[in-house]
Order: sequence, then structure tokens, then C-alpha cells
Amino acid sequence: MQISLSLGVSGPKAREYDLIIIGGGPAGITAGIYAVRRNLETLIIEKTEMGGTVALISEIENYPGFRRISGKELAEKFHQHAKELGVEFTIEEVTQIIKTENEFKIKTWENEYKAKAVILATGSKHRKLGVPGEEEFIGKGVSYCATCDAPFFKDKIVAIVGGGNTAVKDAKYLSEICSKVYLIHRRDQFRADEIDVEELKKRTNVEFVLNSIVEEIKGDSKVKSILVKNKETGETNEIAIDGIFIDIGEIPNSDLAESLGVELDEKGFIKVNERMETNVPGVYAAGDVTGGLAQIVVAAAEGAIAAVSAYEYIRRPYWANKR
Amino acid sequence: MIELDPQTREYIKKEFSKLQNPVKIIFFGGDNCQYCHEIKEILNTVKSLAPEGKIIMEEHDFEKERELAESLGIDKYPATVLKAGTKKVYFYGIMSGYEFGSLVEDIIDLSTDEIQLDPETIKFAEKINRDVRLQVFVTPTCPYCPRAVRLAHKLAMVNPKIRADMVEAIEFPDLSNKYMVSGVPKTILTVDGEDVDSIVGAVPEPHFLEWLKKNIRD
Repeated sequence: MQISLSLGVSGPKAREYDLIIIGGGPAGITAGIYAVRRNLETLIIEKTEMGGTVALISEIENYPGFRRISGKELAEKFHQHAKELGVEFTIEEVTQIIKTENEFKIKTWENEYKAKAVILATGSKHRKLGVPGEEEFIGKGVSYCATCDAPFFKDKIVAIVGGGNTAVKDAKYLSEICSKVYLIHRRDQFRADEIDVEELKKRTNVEFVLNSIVEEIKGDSKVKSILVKNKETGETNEIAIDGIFIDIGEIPNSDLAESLGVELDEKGFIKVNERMETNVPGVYAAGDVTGGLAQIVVAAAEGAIAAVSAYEYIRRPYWANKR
Repeated sequence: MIELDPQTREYIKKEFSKLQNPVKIIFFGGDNCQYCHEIKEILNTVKSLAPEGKIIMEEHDFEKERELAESLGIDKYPATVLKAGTKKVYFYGIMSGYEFGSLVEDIIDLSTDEIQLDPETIKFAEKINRDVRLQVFVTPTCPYCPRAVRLAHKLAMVNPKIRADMVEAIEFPDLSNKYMVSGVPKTILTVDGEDVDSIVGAVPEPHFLEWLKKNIRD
């Protein structure tokens, strides 16, 4: 048996940078790689773990160059690549960004940094179901992280709610650990990649509960069952389960952006143009926080564009002046 | 077998060049132990990356050396204590996956005596005069967990009245059942021997401080 070891990150060397990137997911890390290759002193501030939500994906099969790789491993490769090129990292939570005349002050719980430009790659957080019992049973059978909590449900019965890639991937992962997996989806079609849905259909311990919504999570000291309503027949059934994993999409982490005066769309995603510029000069955004297709490769591409735009803003090269 | 790539080794070596005071790693294993071999391998690897004399390793048998274990406050195994002077932090179970980072960072903090916490948190932690225990349940695949472990461990470094344990939930199923752990990180707060509250998730330091203040009164 091989035991993998992951390291956190040490503190940053300075307090003043050319570019500060908030968020260490694929968008932030790619932006960091592009920025240091253009000689920008760059710091990435991540609040949890390098790789962002990528680290939570059990298996990735659509990132070019890797036929199949775990999210954790890909996140580590991203981090390593950026670190070797000279991107600095710190694990801190940003509490406030203040724009002054020529720069930005970025405050965390512990420190205050300065930068000439900022890239917001703050990603997204799990959307909640908003049904009775959900809040009450968080950590008692309600989970939003299959890679974290799956071991507690070995040989048990679980439900997964959602129809996107994360839900289907998590269902595959959990079907290898749990005795029975219900995949509950409000439609009869999936947004997830068909190749994964087809594979999931072959698993004998996975039951699809389609056109259905979870109305309530019930239990005593922990989750015991869920009430599931079929939208077509109107019928409600109680399904006995030990745990429920909620994968119904993400909501953007755009509070910091909003407090900085960055314009958001009606769903709370940061509005950007094709250069990843926001309405605030010197502030760029990339990745899931800008909406659109929430995929690693898309986030990485946006991170590259944002970094080049930030470089042009900071250094004013001849081609940017022509624009 | 543990996996530690050459870049990470170099990185730890560089970080460990900052070590000042020696840190003692005291490990307790035994016969009935799934990961004792791997834990020892991790600890010895970490020791080998530190300058001579900066990490001192001791290995003990929990069953055969009960008295010593008790004197260190160890009540089960596998257990690892990191100790520098009067400061101690505990790991129950394997510190693999994301928790390896907690181990390395704890060693640096203990040795350099530099604990990064908000001054308000330090002020509150220093004043605590009741016996406080924080048990942080984790799984090695949980990226959020080290944040909770490190916060608890840093508090324990501020005041020896606070004791903080990382507990690898899967290796201690009875304890996990007792505290109904089915989501991690989950932190159990015990004050003067009484379990008073629990919190799920890696909560930011100011929220954690509020939670402690609410539950620990003079």
C-alpha cells in the first residue's frame, strides 16, 4: 500500500507584489504561471488547499494530457509547477480588498498585502438544497464532500442529489465503497458527460431516481431517511439511507468582488469582458466565479488571459499602448 | 510504503533549516495497529530531513509502557506527541495525505516558537485556566481538515491548559461513533472533562474564537 503525503505551503516572502491572485484553483494557478513567466512578482492567496475544489474531485478524465487522474494529484501537479517557476503561495483568508489611488490593499485575518493589480479567482461554493433537515444534519449524514466523508459510509446506503459531472463522478466513487447508491435527479436527462452516465448505469448497486426532488431529510441523532417526491406522479416516497451527498451545483464566491465595487450578474457571477477585465481597472477575474462552463480547462484558460491582461495593465508594453 | 517526491523533500529540508529548539517526537505503537509501520516511516522520514539534533525520535509500546503513556496524557494508540519544552500537540492515527502538512508545520512552529494567530485569539487562549481539550476528527483525503487541526494545535502551543488532538477518524471507529462523526473536520470541545460542544467544518479563526468564548467561561 502506498501512502501519499501532501504538504501545505509556507508563508510568503514579502508584503508587496506586482500581482496578487486570490484563489489557488486552476484559474489562479494558471494565472500565476503566466504572470511569473512575464516577471511579475506574484502571490497566490488561497484559503483552504492549493487546487481549490479540484482537490475534491475523485477522478478527472477530461483534462488533456491525463487519461485519468485524481483531483488531488492534479491539484498537486498544478501547485508544484507554479511553485517551481517562482509563484509564491500563502494559505490565508482574504477579508477585504481596498483600492487606493495606485494600488490595492489586500487584508487577510493575519496580514496586509499590497499589489498593483488583482485577479479574483475565488471559485464557488456548494449550493445547498434548502430543505428541512439539511442544516440540522450537516456532519451527521449530510455531506458536500465525497472525498472527505466517503469512508464513513463504507457498506452503507447513501443518496446523491444532482445531475451534473460532480454528482455522477461522486456516484461512481461512492458505488465502490457503499452497498447501495441512489442517484436522485430532478430531470430525466443529465448535464454530466454521457460516458460517465452510461458507465454508472452498468453498476448494479446504483439506482437512478429521476424526475424527483428531495423534500426533507429526516433522522434522530443522524440521518435515517429522505422524503423524495416524483415530479410527474406527485407521489412521495420515504427512502431509508445513512448519508446524503449534495452535488446540485455551485454559487460564486463573489462577496469580496462585490465589496470592491466589481459588477456582478443577476446570479452573482463576476461580469468580465473577453480580456477578463472587470469594471474596476486593475481587477480581473477568472474561473468558476465568472460563470459559464465550470471546467478545469476553462478556468485555466481564463487564468492565462487574466494574467496577460494584468501584465499589460502593470507594465504597459508597447502593444498594449497601441490598443 | 510512503511516497515523498524529491521536490517536497528538498522543500522540507529548506524549511527545516529554520529549526531552532529541538522537537521531540514521541511515538506509541503496539501489536494491534493497522498503520504503525507507516506512521513510523513517516516520522523517521521527517526526522531524516531535519538538521542533526533538531528532531529527537522516541518509539514506545503502548501496552508495555502504560505508565509513560499515561504520564504524557496518551490514552490510546497509535499516538504521536510532538513536544518542545512544555508545549505539546497530539496526533492519533496516521498523519498521511493532507495531514502530513500539519505535522511538518507543527514541528516548525514548536521549534521556532513562532505561532501565527490573531492577537485577540492569543489573548483569550492565554487566559484560559480550565482544562480544555480539542479533538479534531479528520480523514487523510480531506483538504479542509489541516486548517482545523492547525488552529487547534496552535492554541495548544499558546497555553498548556489547552490540549489538542488530531484524530484520524477511520482508525478510531469507536471514538468516531461516540462523537457521531460522519463528516470531517469535526472538532469536539471538552472542558474540565465534560464534552460541551462540537463544530463541523474548518471555520475561520474569528468564528472559532467566538465558539470557544461561548463555551469556555471562567
